[in-house]
Amino acid sequence: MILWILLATALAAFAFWGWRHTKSTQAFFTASRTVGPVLAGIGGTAAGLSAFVFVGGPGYFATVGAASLWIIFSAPLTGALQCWAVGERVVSLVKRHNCLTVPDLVAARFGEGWPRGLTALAVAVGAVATLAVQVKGAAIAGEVLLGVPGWLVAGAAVAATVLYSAAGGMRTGILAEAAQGVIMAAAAVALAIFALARAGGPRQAIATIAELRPELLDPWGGPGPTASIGIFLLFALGTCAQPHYLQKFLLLRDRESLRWLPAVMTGALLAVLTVWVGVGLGGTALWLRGELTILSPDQLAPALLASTGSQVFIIIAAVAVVAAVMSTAASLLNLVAAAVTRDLPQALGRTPGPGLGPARVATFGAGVAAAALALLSNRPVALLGVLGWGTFTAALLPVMVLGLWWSGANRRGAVAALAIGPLVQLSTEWARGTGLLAVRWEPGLLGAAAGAAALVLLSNLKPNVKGDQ
Amino acid sequence: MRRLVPISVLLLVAGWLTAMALDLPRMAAAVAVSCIGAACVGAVRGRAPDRRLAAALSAILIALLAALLFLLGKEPSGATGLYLQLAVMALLAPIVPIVYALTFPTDRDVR
Repeated sequence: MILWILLATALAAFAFWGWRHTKSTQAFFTASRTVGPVLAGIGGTAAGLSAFVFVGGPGYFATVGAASLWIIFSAPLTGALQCWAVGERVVSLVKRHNCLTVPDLVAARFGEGWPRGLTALAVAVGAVATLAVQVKGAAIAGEVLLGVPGWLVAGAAVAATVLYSAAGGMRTGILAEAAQGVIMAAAAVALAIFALARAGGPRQAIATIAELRPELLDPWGGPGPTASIGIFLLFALGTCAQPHYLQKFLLLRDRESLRWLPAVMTGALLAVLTVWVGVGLGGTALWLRGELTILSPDQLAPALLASTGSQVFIIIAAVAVVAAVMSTAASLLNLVAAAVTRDLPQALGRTPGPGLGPARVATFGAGVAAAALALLSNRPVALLGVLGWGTFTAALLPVMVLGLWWSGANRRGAVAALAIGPLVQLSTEWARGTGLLAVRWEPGLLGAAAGAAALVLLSNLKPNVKGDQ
Repeated sequence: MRRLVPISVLLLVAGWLTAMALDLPRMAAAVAVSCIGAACVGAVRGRAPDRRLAAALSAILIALLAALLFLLGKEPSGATGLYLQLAVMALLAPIVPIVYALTFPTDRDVR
Protein backbone atom coordinates (compact mmCIF):
# COMPACT_ATOMS: atom_id res chain seq x y z
CA MET A 1 0.00 0.00 0.00
CA ILE A 2 2.86 2.33 0.87
CA LEU A 3 4.45 1.53 -2.50
CA TRP A 4 1.26 2.46 -4.34
CA ILE A 5 0.98 5.74 -2.43
CA LEU A 6 4.61 6.57 -3.26
CA LEU A 7 4.05 5.72 -6.93
CA ALA A 8 0.90 7.84 -7.11
CA THR A 9 2.66 10.75 -5.41
CA ALA A 10 5.63 10.53 -7.79
CA LEU A 11 3.27 10.38 -10.75
CA ALA A 12 1.31 13.40 -9.58
CA ALA A 13 4.56 15.33 -9.06
CA PHE A 14 5.75 14.33 -12.55
CA ALA A 15 2.46 15.43 -14.11
CA PHE A 16 2.61 18.73 -12.18
CA TRP A 17 6.17 19.29 -13.43
CA GLY A 18 4.94 18.68 -16.97
CA TRP A 19 2.03 21.05 -16.51
CA ARG A 20 4.35 23.81 -15.26
CA HIS A 21 6.89 23.37 -18.06
CA THR A 22 4.54 22.89 -21.01
CA LYS A 23 3.17 26.22 -22.14
CA SER A 24 3.08 25.99 -25.94
CA THR A 25 1.86 23.63 -28.64
CA GLN A 26 5.48 23.14 -29.68
CA ALA A 27 6.33 21.96 -26.17
CA PHE A 28 3.20 19.77 -25.98
CA PHE A 29 3.59 18.05 -29.35
CA THR A 30 7.38 18.05 -29.88
CA ALA A 31 8.92 18.57 -26.41
CA SER A 32 10.21 21.91 -27.78
CA ARG A 33 12.62 19.93 -29.99
CA THR A 34 15.10 19.44 -27.18
CA VAL A 35 15.49 15.68 -27.49
CA GLY A 36 18.81 14.02 -28.26
CA PRO A 37 19.52 10.60 -29.79
CA VAL A 38 19.61 8.64 -26.53
CA LEU A 39 16.25 9.86 -25.26
CA ALA A 40 14.62 9.64 -28.70
CA GLY A 41 16.14 6.22 -29.41
CA ILE A 42 15.15 4.56 -26.14
CA GLY A 43 11.81 6.37 -25.95
CA GLY A 44 11.03 5.63 -29.58
CA THR A 45 11.81 1.97 -29.14
CA ALA A 46 9.69 1.75 -26.01
CA ALA A 47 6.81 3.48 -27.80
CA GLY A 48 7.12 1.08 -30.70
CA LEU A 49 7.08 -2.10 -28.65
CA SER A 50 3.81 -3.18 -27.12
CA ALA A 51 2.89 -5.79 -24.54
CA PHE A 52 2.75 -8.30 -27.39
CA VAL A 53 6.54 -8.64 -27.26
CA PHE A 54 6.42 -9.95 -23.68
CA VAL A 55 3.33 -12.13 -23.83
CA GLY A 56 2.43 -12.80 -27.44
CA GLY A 57 5.97 -13.12 -28.82
CA PRO A 58 7.09 -16.12 -26.74
CA GLY A 59 3.64 -17.64 -27.21
CA TYR A 60 3.92 -17.24 -30.97
CA PHE A 61 7.33 -18.93 -30.82
CA ALA A 62 5.70 -21.89 -29.06
CA THR A 63 3.11 -22.02 -31.87
CA VAL A 64 5.18 -21.67 -35.05
CA GLY A 65 8.73 -21.80 -33.68
CA ALA A 66 11.54 -20.18 -35.67
CA ALA A 67 9.02 -18.88 -38.22
CA SER A 68 7.88 -16.38 -35.56
CA LEU A 69 11.29 -14.72 -35.81
CA TRP A 70 10.40 -13.22 -39.21
CA ILE A 71 8.46 -10.58 -37.30
CA ILE A 72 11.66 -9.45 -35.56
CA PHE A 73 14.18 -10.46 -38.23
CA SER A 74 14.34 -6.91 -39.59
CA ALA A 75 15.15 -5.46 -36.13
CA PRO A 76 18.86 -4.85 -36.88
CA LEU A 77 17.88 -2.89 -39.99
CA THR A 78 14.90 -0.86 -38.88
CA GLY A 79 16.65 1.89 -36.91
CA ALA A 80 18.85 2.89 -39.84
CA LEU A 81 16.11 2.16 -42.38
CA GLN A 82 13.77 4.62 -40.69
CA CYS A 83 16.46 7.32 -40.77
CA TRP A 84 17.45 6.63 -44.37
CA ALA A 85 13.91 6.30 -45.72
CA VAL A 86 12.07 9.01 -43.76
CA GLY A 87 14.02 10.45 -40.81
CA GLU A 88 16.46 12.61 -42.74
CA ARG A 89 13.72 14.03 -44.94
CA VAL A 90 11.45 14.63 -41.94
CA VAL A 91 14.16 16.52 -40.05
CA SER A 92 14.78 18.63 -43.14
CA LEU A 93 11.05 19.44 -43.50
CA VAL A 94 10.79 20.26 -39.80
CA LYS A 95 13.65 22.73 -40.13
CA ARG A 96 12.07 24.49 -43.11
CA HIS A 97 8.37 24.35 -42.21
CA ASN A 98 8.37 24.05 -38.40
CA CYS A 99 6.20 20.90 -38.58
CA LEU A 100 4.75 19.72 -35.27
CA THR A 101 2.81 16.64 -36.38
CA VAL A 102 2.93 13.89 -38.99
CA PRO A 103 0.02 15.45 -40.96
CA ASP A 104 2.02 18.72 -40.86
CA LEU A 105 4.77 16.95 -42.81
CA VAL A 106 2.34 15.74 -45.46
CA ALA A 107 0.73 19.20 -45.68
CA ALA A 108 4.16 20.83 -46.02
CA ARG A 109 4.88 18.60 -49.00
CA PHE A 110 1.45 18.31 -50.66
CA GLY A 111 -0.54 21.29 -49.43
CA GLU A 112 -3.47 21.79 -47.07
CA GLY A 113 -6.90 20.17 -47.21
CA TRP A 114 -7.19 16.53 -48.26
CA PRO A 115 -3.55 15.47 -47.73
CA ARG A 116 -3.55 16.76 -44.15
CA GLY A 117 -7.10 15.58 -43.47
CA LEU A 118 -6.64 12.02 -44.72
CA THR A 119 -3.35 11.66 -42.88
CA ALA A 120 -4.90 12.97 -39.66
CA LEU A 121 -7.86 10.61 -40.07
CA ALA A 122 -5.58 7.61 -40.57
CA VAL A 123 -3.50 8.62 -37.55
CA ALA A 124 -6.53 9.21 -35.30
CA VAL A 125 -8.41 6.03 -36.20
CA GLY A 126 -5.32 3.82 -36.21
CA ALA A 127 -4.01 5.30 -32.97
CA VAL A 128 -7.28 4.82 -31.05
CA ALA A 129 -7.44 1.23 -32.27
CA THR A 130 -3.82 0.59 -31.28
CA LEU A 131 -4.44 2.31 -27.94
CA ALA A 132 -7.34 -0.03 -27.30
CA VAL A 133 -5.03 -2.97 -27.81
CA GLN A 134 -2.59 -1.48 -25.28
CA VAL A 135 -5.40 -1.18 -22.74
CA LYS A 136 -6.28 -4.80 -23.34
CA GLY A 137 -2.63 -5.73 -22.87
CA ALA A 138 -2.59 -4.06 -19.46
CA ALA A 139 -5.78 -5.88 -18.49
CA ILE A 140 -4.31 -9.24 -19.49
CA ALA A 141 -1.10 -8.48 -17.59
CA GLY A 142 -3.11 -7.70 -14.47
CA GLU A 143 -5.26 -10.80 -14.70
CA VAL A 144 -2.62 -13.32 -15.69
CA LEU A 145 0.48 -12.04 -13.93
CA LEU A 146 -0.81 -10.27 -10.84
CA GLY A 147 -4.06 -12.12 -10.32
CA VAL A 148 -6.06 -8.91 -9.91
CA PRO A 149 -9.03 -7.76 -11.98
CA GLY A 150 -7.85 -6.74 -15.46
CA TRP A 151 -9.97 -3.60 -15.59
CA LEU A 152 -8.27 -2.36 -12.43
CA VAL A 153 -4.73 -2.60 -13.86
CA ALA A 154 -5.84 -1.31 -17.27
CA GLY A 155 -7.71 1.57 -15.66
CA ALA A 156 -4.74 2.51 -13.46
CA ALA A 157 -2.25 2.29 -16.36
CA VAL A 158 -4.45 4.35 -18.67
CA ALA A 159 -5.29 6.91 -15.98
CA ALA A 160 -1.61 7.35 -15.10
CA THR A 161 -0.60 7.70 -18.76
CA VAL A 162 -3.43 10.11 -19.51
CA LEU A 163 -2.50 12.18 -16.45
CA TYR A 164 1.10 12.86 -17.43
CA SER A 165 0.37 12.96 -21.17
CA ALA A 166 -2.43 15.50 -20.78
CA ALA A 167 -0.34 17.59 -18.40
CA GLY A 168 2.94 17.68 -20.29
CA GLY A 169 2.33 16.17 -23.73
CA MET A 170 5.54 14.81 -25.25
CA ARG A 171 7.65 16.80 -22.78
CA THR A 172 6.66 14.34 -20.07
CA GLY A 173 5.82 11.58 -22.54
CA ILE A 174 9.34 11.17 -23.93
CA LEU A 175 10.92 11.13 -20.46
CA ALA A 176 8.47 8.51 -19.25
CA GLU A 177 8.93 6.46 -22.42
CA ALA A 178 12.71 6.44 -22.05
CA ALA A 179 12.45 5.35 -18.40
CA GLN A 180 9.94 2.67 -19.37
CA GLY A 181 12.24 1.57 -22.20
CA VAL A 182 15.09 1.00 -19.75
CA ILE A 183 12.76 -1.01 -17.48
CA MET A 184 11.53 -3.08 -20.44
CA ALA A 185 15.04 -3.81 -21.67
CA ALA A 186 16.33 -4.80 -18.22
CA ALA A 187 13.29 -6.99 -17.52
CA ALA A 188 13.46 -8.61 -20.96
CA VAL A 189 17.12 -9.55 -20.62
CA ALA A 190 16.56 -10.87 -17.06
CA LEU A 191 13.56 -12.96 -18.13
CA ALA A 192 15.36 -14.33 -21.19
CA ILE A 193 18.40 -15.36 -19.16
CA PHE A 194 16.19 -16.94 -16.52
CA ALA A 195 14.15 -18.91 -19.07
CA LEU A 196 17.18 -20.21 -20.92
CA ALA A 197 18.98 -21.07 -17.68
CA ARG A 198 15.97 -23.05 -16.46
CA ALA A 199 15.90 -24.94 -19.74
CA GLY A 200 19.56 -25.89 -19.33
CA GLY A 201 21.01 -23.24 -21.64
CA PRO A 202 20.31 -22.32 -25.28
CA ARG A 203 21.92 -25.46 -26.74
CA GLN A 204 19.94 -27.74 -24.44
CA ALA A 205 16.71 -25.86 -25.20
CA ILE A 206 17.27 -26.21 -28.95
CA ALA A 207 18.22 -29.88 -28.54
CA THR A 208 14.99 -30.51 -26.65
CA ILE A 209 12.90 -28.84 -29.35
CA ALA A 210 14.83 -30.68 -32.08
CA GLU A 211 14.06 -33.98 -30.40
CA LEU A 212 10.42 -33.43 -29.45
CA ARG A 213 9.03 -30.95 -32.00
CA PRO A 214 11.63 -30.56 -34.79
CA GLU A 215 9.15 -28.75 -37.03
CA LEU A 216 9.39 -25.75 -34.66
CA LEU A 217 12.98 -25.22 -35.80
CA ASP A 218 11.95 -24.82 -39.43
CA PRO A 219 12.16 -21.08 -40.29
CA TRP A 220 9.51 -21.54 -42.95
CA GLY A 221 7.06 -23.48 -40.82
CA GLY A 222 3.67 -22.04 -39.85
CA PRO A 223 2.41 -19.72 -42.56
CA GLY A 224 4.94 -20.88 -45.20
CA PRO A 225 7.87 -19.17 -46.92
CA THR A 226 6.08 -16.64 -49.14
CA ALA A 227 3.86 -15.43 -46.31
CA SER A 228 6.85 -15.34 -43.94
CA ILE A 229 8.76 -13.08 -46.32
CA GLY A 230 5.67 -10.88 -46.47
CA ILE A 231 5.68 -10.63 -42.68
CA PHE A 232 9.40 -9.77 -42.72
CA LEU A 233 8.82 -6.99 -45.26
CA LEU A 234 5.74 -5.68 -43.44
CA PHE A 235 7.70 -5.22 -40.21
CA ALA A 236 10.78 -3.84 -42.00
CA LEU A 237 9.13 -1.20 -44.18
CA GLY A 238 6.16 -0.77 -41.84
CA THR A 239 8.42 0.93 -39.29
CA CYS A 240 8.73 3.85 -41.74
CA ALA A 241 4.98 4.43 -41.60
CA GLN A 242 4.09 4.13 -37.91
CA PRO A 243 3.21 7.63 -36.68
CA HIS A 244 4.46 6.92 -33.15
CA TYR A 245 7.87 6.09 -34.68
CA LEU A 246 7.82 9.08 -37.06
CA GLN A 247 6.88 11.37 -34.18
CA LYS A 248 10.35 10.88 -32.64
CA PHE A 249 11.96 12.61 -35.63
CA LEU A 250 9.84 15.67 -34.85
CA LEU A 251 11.33 15.83 -31.37
CA LEU A 252 15.01 15.87 -32.33
CA ARG A 253 16.97 18.95 -31.36
CA ASP A 254 19.13 19.00 -34.51
CA ARG A 255 20.07 17.05 -37.61
CA GLU A 256 23.26 15.71 -36.05
CA SER A 257 21.12 13.81 -33.51
CA LEU A 258 20.25 11.43 -36.34
CA ARG A 259 23.80 10.12 -36.59
CA TRP A 260 23.69 7.87 -33.53
CA LEU A 261 19.92 7.42 -33.33
CA PRO A 262 19.94 4.05 -35.17
CA ALA A 263 22.63 2.71 -32.84
CA VAL A 264 20.56 3.57 -29.76
CA MET A 265 17.34 2.30 -31.32
CA THR A 266 18.89 -0.97 -32.44
CA GLY A 267 20.54 -1.60 -29.08
CA ALA A 268 17.34 -0.93 -27.16
CA LEU A 269 15.22 -2.93 -29.59
CA LEU A 270 17.43 -6.00 -29.53
CA ALA A 271 17.69 -5.88 -25.72
CA VAL A 272 13.90 -6.01 -25.42
CA LEU A 273 13.55 -8.64 -28.14
CA THR A 274 15.76 -11.05 -26.20
CA VAL A 275 12.58 -11.93 -24.30
CA TRP A 276 11.03 -13.21 -27.54
CA VAL A 277 13.93 -15.51 -28.33
CA GLY A 278 14.96 -16.40 -24.77
CA VAL A 279 11.53 -17.06 -23.25
CA GLY A 280 10.35 -18.51 -26.57
CA LEU A 281 13.17 -21.05 -26.73
CA GLY A 282 13.49 -21.77 -23.02
CA GLY A 283 9.78 -21.78 -22.28
CA THR A 284 8.97 -23.98 -25.28
CA ALA A 285 11.66 -26.49 -24.27
CA LEU A 286 10.30 -26.63 -20.71
CA TRP A 287 6.75 -27.04 -22.02
CA LEU A 288 7.75 -29.87 -24.36
CA ARG A 289 9.55 -31.63 -21.51
CA GLY A 290 6.36 -31.44 -19.47
CA GLU A 291 7.86 -29.08 -16.92
CA LEU A 292 5.29 -26.40 -17.80
CA THR A 293 1.58 -26.89 -18.28
CA ILE A 294 -0.21 -24.47 -20.58
CA LEU A 295 -3.67 -24.48 -22.12
CA SER A 296 -2.73 -22.13 -24.94
CA PRO A 297 0.61 -20.83 -26.30
CA ASP A 298 -0.14 -17.32 -24.98
CA GLN A 299 0.17 -18.76 -21.47
CA LEU A 300 3.80 -19.72 -22.04
CA ALA A 301 5.40 -16.61 -20.52
CA PRO A 302 2.93 -16.31 -17.59
CA ALA A 303 3.20 -20.04 -16.86
CA LEU A 304 7.00 -19.85 -16.88
CA LEU A 305 6.87 -16.99 -14.40
CA ALA A 306 4.33 -18.71 -12.22
CA SER A 307 6.49 -21.85 -12.13
CA THR A 308 9.29 -19.91 -10.46
CA GLY A 309 7.17 -19.30 -7.41
CA SER A 310 9.07 -16.03 -7.16
CA GLN A 311 6.90 -13.00 -6.59
CA VAL A 312 9.83 -10.79 -7.61
CA PHE A 313 10.01 -12.23 -11.14
CA ILE A 314 6.25 -11.96 -11.56
CA ILE A 315 6.29 -8.32 -10.48
CA ILE A 316 9.25 -7.60 -12.80
CA ALA A 317 7.33 -9.10 -15.71
CA ALA A 318 4.11 -7.28 -14.84
CA VAL A 319 5.97 -3.97 -14.52
CA ALA A 320 7.66 -4.56 -17.89
CA VAL A 321 4.35 -5.34 -19.60
CA VAL A 322 2.66 -2.31 -18.08
CA ALA A 323 5.68 -0.16 -19.03
CA ALA A 324 5.37 -1.43 -22.62
CA VAL A 325 1.69 -0.55 -22.61
CA MET A 326 2.14 2.91 -21.09
CA SER A 327 5.06 3.91 -23.33
CA THR A 328 3.13 3.10 -26.48
CA ALA A 329 -0.03 4.69 -25.11
CA ALA A 330 1.63 8.05 -24.30
CA SER A 331 2.75 8.61 -27.89
CA LEU A 332 -0.55 7.46 -29.32
CA LEU A 333 -2.54 9.74 -26.99
CA ASN A 334 -0.43 12.69 -28.13
CA LEU A 335 -0.91 11.77 -31.79
CA VAL A 336 -4.69 11.54 -31.41
CA ALA A 337 -4.76 14.88 -29.57
CA ALA A 338 -2.76 16.52 -32.37
CA ALA A 339 -4.91 15.00 -35.11
CA VAL A 340 -8.21 15.96 -33.47
CA THR A 341 -7.42 19.44 -32.18
CA ARG A 342 -4.94 20.67 -34.77
CA ASP A 343 -4.81 18.74 -38.03
CA LEU A 344 -8.44 17.90 -38.72
CA PRO A 345 -9.63 21.49 -38.04
CA GLN A 346 -6.82 22.84 -40.23
CA ALA A 347 -7.73 20.39 -42.99
CA LEU A 348 -11.28 21.77 -42.87
CA GLY A 349 -9.96 25.30 -43.16
CA ARG A 350 -10.41 26.24 -39.52
CA THR A 351 -7.79 27.71 -37.23
CA PRO A 352 -6.92 25.41 -34.30
CA GLY A 353 -8.14 26.69 -30.92
CA PRO A 354 -5.68 28.69 -28.81
CA GLY A 355 -3.83 27.28 -25.80
CA LEU A 356 -3.33 23.72 -24.71
CA GLY A 357 -6.79 23.18 -23.23
CA PRO A 358 -8.27 21.41 -26.28
CA ALA A 359 -5.20 19.19 -26.66
CA ARG A 360 -5.36 18.20 -22.99
CA VAL A 361 -9.08 17.44 -23.21
CA ALA A 362 -8.51 15.44 -26.41
CA THR A 363 -5.76 13.42 -24.70
CA PHE A 364 -8.20 12.57 -21.93
CA GLY A 365 -10.94 11.78 -24.47
CA ALA A 366 -8.67 9.48 -26.47
CA GLY A 367 -7.80 7.56 -23.30
CA VAL A 368 -11.45 7.14 -22.37
CA ALA A 369 -12.41 6.08 -25.91
CA ALA A 370 -9.63 3.51 -26.09
CA ALA A 371 -10.41 2.14 -22.62
CA ALA A 372 -14.10 1.83 -23.49
CA LEU A 373 -13.31 0.12 -26.78
CA ALA A 374 -10.92 -2.31 -25.11
CA LEU A 375 -12.88 -3.20 -22.01
CA LEU A 376 -16.43 -3.27 -23.36
CA SER A 377 -15.76 -5.39 -26.40
CA ASN A 378 -13.37 -8.23 -27.16
CA ARG A 379 -13.84 -8.98 -30.79
CA PRO A 380 -13.49 -5.57 -32.40
CA VAL A 381 -10.36 -4.89 -30.35
CA ALA A 382 -8.73 -8.12 -31.46
CA LEU A 383 -9.63 -7.27 -35.03
CA LEU A 384 -8.39 -3.70 -34.73
CA GLY A 385 -5.20 -4.91 -33.10
CA VAL A 386 -4.42 -7.00 -36.15
CA LEU A 387 -5.30 -4.08 -38.38
CA GLY A 388 -3.26 -1.43 -36.51
CA TRP A 389 0.24 -1.87 -37.93
CA GLY A 390 -1.08 -2.77 -41.38
CA THR A 391 -3.42 0.23 -41.56
CA PHE A 392 -0.63 2.68 -40.80
CA THR A 393 1.58 0.91 -43.35
CA ALA A 394 -1.07 0.92 -46.06
CA ALA A 395 -2.09 4.54 -45.49
CA LEU A 396 1.22 6.25 -44.78
CA LEU A 397 4.07 4.23 -46.29
CA PRO A 398 3.68 5.49 -49.90
CA VAL A 399 3.44 9.18 -48.95
CA MET A 400 6.08 9.08 -46.22
CA VAL A 401 8.74 7.10 -48.08
CA LEU A 402 8.07 7.79 -51.75
CA GLY A 403 6.08 11.00 -51.55
CA LEU A 404 8.43 12.96 -49.31
CA TRP A 405 11.58 12.63 -51.44
CA TRP A 406 10.45 11.92 -55.02
CA SER A 407 10.16 15.29 -56.72
CA GLY A 408 7.66 13.89 -59.24
CA ALA A 409 5.06 13.09 -56.58
CA ASN A 410 2.15 15.51 -56.51
CA ARG A 411 -0.92 16.29 -54.47
CA ARG A 412 -3.31 14.23 -56.57
CA GLY A 413 -1.12 11.17 -56.30
CA ALA A 414 -0.67 11.62 -52.55
CA VAL A 415 -4.41 11.96 -51.91
CA ALA A 416 -5.08 8.86 -54.01
CA ALA A 417 -2.42 6.90 -52.11
CA LEU A 418 -3.80 7.99 -48.73
CA ALA A 419 -7.32 6.89 -49.73
CA ILE A 420 -6.62 3.77 -51.79
CA GLY A 421 -4.04 2.19 -49.45
CA PRO A 422 -6.36 1.67 -46.45
CA LEU A 423 -9.29 0.72 -48.69
CA VAL A 424 -7.27 -2.06 -50.34
CA GLN A 425 -5.89 -3.13 -46.97
CA LEU A 426 -9.34 -3.39 -45.35
CA SER A 427 -10.75 -5.20 -48.41
CA THR A 428 -7.86 -7.67 -48.36
CA GLU A 429 -8.33 -8.22 -44.64
CA TRP A 430 -11.98 -9.02 -45.29
CA ALA A 431 -11.16 -11.27 -48.28
CA ARG A 432 -8.60 -13.20 -46.24
CA GLY A 433 -11.08 -13.59 -43.41
CA THR A 434 -13.66 -15.10 -45.72
CA GLY A 435 -11.14 -17.37 -47.42
CA LEU A 436 -11.32 -15.59 -50.80
CA LEU A 437 -7.61 -14.79 -50.63
CA ALA A 438 -4.75 -16.99 -49.42
CA VAL A 439 -3.14 -16.06 -46.11
CA ARG A 440 0.13 -15.10 -47.84
CA TRP A 441 -1.54 -11.93 -49.17
CA GLU A 442 -0.48 -9.55 -46.42
CA PRO A 443 -3.15 -6.81 -46.29
CA GLY A 444 -0.92 -3.95 -45.09
CA LEU A 445 1.66 -4.59 -47.81
CA LEU A 446 -0.97 -4.99 -50.51
CA GLY A 447 -2.53 -1.69 -49.43
CA ALA A 448 0.86 0.02 -49.49
CA ALA A 449 1.60 -1.48 -52.92
CA ALA A 450 -1.73 -0.20 -54.26
CA GLY A 451 -1.08 3.20 -52.67
CA ALA A 452 2.42 3.40 -54.16
CA ALA A 453 1.11 2.46 -57.61
CA ALA A 454 -1.64 5.08 -57.31
CA LEU A 455 0.90 7.69 -56.20
CA VAL A 456 3.19 7.24 -59.20
CA LEU A 457 0.42 6.73 -61.77
CA LEU A 458 -1.68 9.72 -60.76
CA SER A 459 1.36 11.92 -60.26
CA ASN A 460 2.40 11.15 -63.81
CA LEU A 461 -1.10 11.66 -65.14
CA LYS A 462 -0.99 15.33 -64.29
CA PRO A 463 2.24 16.49 -62.73
CA ASN A 464 2.67 19.66 -60.68
CA VAL A 465 -0.95 20.36 -59.89
CA LYS A 466 -1.89 23.26 -57.63
CA GLY A 467 -1.03 22.79 -53.99
CA ASP A 468 2.30 21.00 -54.42
CA GLN A 469 5.19 22.40 -52.46
CA MET B 1 14.91 10.13 -62.11
CA ARG B 2 11.45 11.48 -62.78
CA ARG B 3 10.70 8.58 -65.16
CA LEU B 4 12.88 6.00 -63.43
CA VAL B 5 11.02 6.17 -60.11
CA PRO B 6 7.52 5.35 -61.44
CA ILE B 7 8.88 2.50 -63.56
CA SER B 8 10.85 1.07 -60.63
CA VAL B 9 7.87 1.36 -58.27
CA LEU B 10 5.50 -0.28 -60.73
CA LEU B 11 8.00 -3.07 -61.40
CA LEU B 12 8.37 -3.74 -57.67
CA VAL B 13 4.58 -3.75 -57.20
CA ALA B 14 4.13 -6.08 -60.18
CA GLY B 15 6.91 -8.32 -58.90
CA TRP B 16 5.37 -8.54 -55.45
CA LEU B 17 1.90 -9.30 -56.81
CA THR B 18 3.34 -12.00 -59.07
CA ALA B 19 5.29 -13.58 -56.22
CA MET B 20 2.19 -13.63 -54.03
CA ALA B 21 -0.20 -14.82 -56.76
CA LEU B 22 2.05 -17.65 -57.88
CA ASP B 23 3.45 -18.40 -54.42
CA LEU B 24 7.08 -17.83 -55.45
CA PRO B 25 9.13 -17.37 -52.26
CA ARG B 26 12.47 -16.69 -54.01
CA MET B 27 10.92 -13.96 -56.07
CA ALA B 28 9.22 -12.57 -52.95
CA ALA B 29 12.61 -12.50 -51.20
CA ALA B 30 14.25 -10.69 -54.11
CA VAL B 31 11.45 -8.13 -54.33
CA ALA B 32 11.40 -7.63 -50.54
CA VAL B 33 15.12 -6.88 -50.39
CA SER B 34 14.79 -4.62 -53.46
CA CYS B 35 11.96 -2.72 -51.74
CA ILE B 36 14.16 -2.09 -48.71
CA GLY B 37 16.91 -0.83 -51.00
CA ALA B 38 14.46 1.32 -52.95
CA ALA B 39 13.26 2.94 -49.72
CA CYS B 40 16.82 4.15 -49.13
CA VAL B 41 17.38 5.61 -52.60
CA GLY B 42 16.56 9.14 -51.42
CA ALA B 43 19.28 8.96 -48.74
CA VAL B 44 21.80 7.52 -51.20
CA ARG B 45 21.07 10.32 -53.69
CA GLY B 46 21.35 12.91 -50.95
CA ARG B 47 24.91 11.77 -50.24
CA ALA B 48 26.13 11.91 -53.84
CA PRO B 49 28.90 12.07 -54.95
CA ASP B 50 29.91 10.12 -51.81
CA ARG B 51 29.23 6.50 -52.75
CA ARG B 52 30.14 4.88 -49.45
CA LEU B 53 26.51 4.46 -48.43
CA ALA B 54 25.55 2.98 -51.79
CA ALA B 55 28.39 0.48 -51.52
CA ALA B 56 27.72 -0.44 -47.89
CA LEU B 57 23.98 -0.71 -48.40
CA SER B 58 24.45 -2.91 -51.45
CA ALA B 59 26.71 -5.23 -49.45
CA ILE B 60 24.19 -5.43 -46.60
CA LEU B 61 21.27 -6.13 -48.91
CA ILE B 62 23.18 -8.72 -50.93
CA ALA B 63 24.12 -10.51 -47.69
CA LEU B 64 20.50 -10.38 -46.57
CA LEU B 65 19.22 -11.75 -49.86
CA ALA B 66 21.88 -14.46 -49.86
CA ALA B 67 20.80 -15.54 -46.36
CA LEU B 68 17.13 -15.63 -47.38
CA LEU B 69 17.85 -17.60 -50.55
CA PHE B 70 20.09 -20.02 -48.64
CA LEU B 71 17.33 -20.61 -46.11
CA LEU B 72 14.79 -21.11 -48.89
CA GLY B 73 16.98 -23.71 -50.54
CA LYS B 74 17.63 -25.64 -47.37
CA GLU B 75 15.80 -28.82 -46.38
CA PRO B 76 14.02 -28.29 -43.05
CA SER B 77 16.15 -30.35 -40.69
CA GLY B 78 17.94 -29.63 -37.46
CA ALA B 79 18.49 -26.17 -36.08
CA THR B 80 20.63 -24.76 -38.91
CA GLY B 81 17.83 -22.47 -40.08
CA LEU B 82 17.29 -21.03 -36.62
CA TYR B 83 21.02 -20.57 -36.11
CA LEU B 84 21.31 -18.77 -39.45
CA GLN B 85 18.40 -16.46 -38.62
CA LEU B 86 20.01 -15.56 -35.29
CA ALA B 87 23.46 -15.22 -36.86
CA VAL B 88 22.21 -12.78 -39.51
CA MET B 89 20.52 -10.70 -36.82
CA ALA B 90 23.61 -10.77 -34.60
CA LEU B 91 25.84 -9.79 -37.53
CA LEU B 92 23.69 -6.98 -38.88
CA ALA B 93 22.81 -5.50 -35.48
CA PRO B 94 26.16 -3.74 -34.96
CA ILE B 95 27.06 -3.30 -38.64
CA VAL B 96 23.99 -1.41 -39.90
CA PRO B 97 23.94 1.38 -37.25
CA ILE B 98 27.70 1.81 -37.61
CA VAL B 99 27.36 2.10 -41.39
CA TYR B 100 24.68 4.70 -40.79
CA ALA B 101 26.85 6.74 -38.43
CA LEU B 102 29.96 6.52 -40.61
CA THR B 103 28.16 7.52 -43.80
CA PHE B 104 26.04 10.21 -42.16
CA PRO B 105 26.62 13.43 -44.07
CA THR B 106 27.58 16.58 -42.28
CA ASP B 107 25.31 19.56 -42.98
CA ARG B 108 27.83 20.80 -45.53
CA ASP B 109 27.53 17.56 -47.52
CA VAL B 110 23.75 17.46 -47.77
CA ARG B 111 22.29 18.30 -51.14
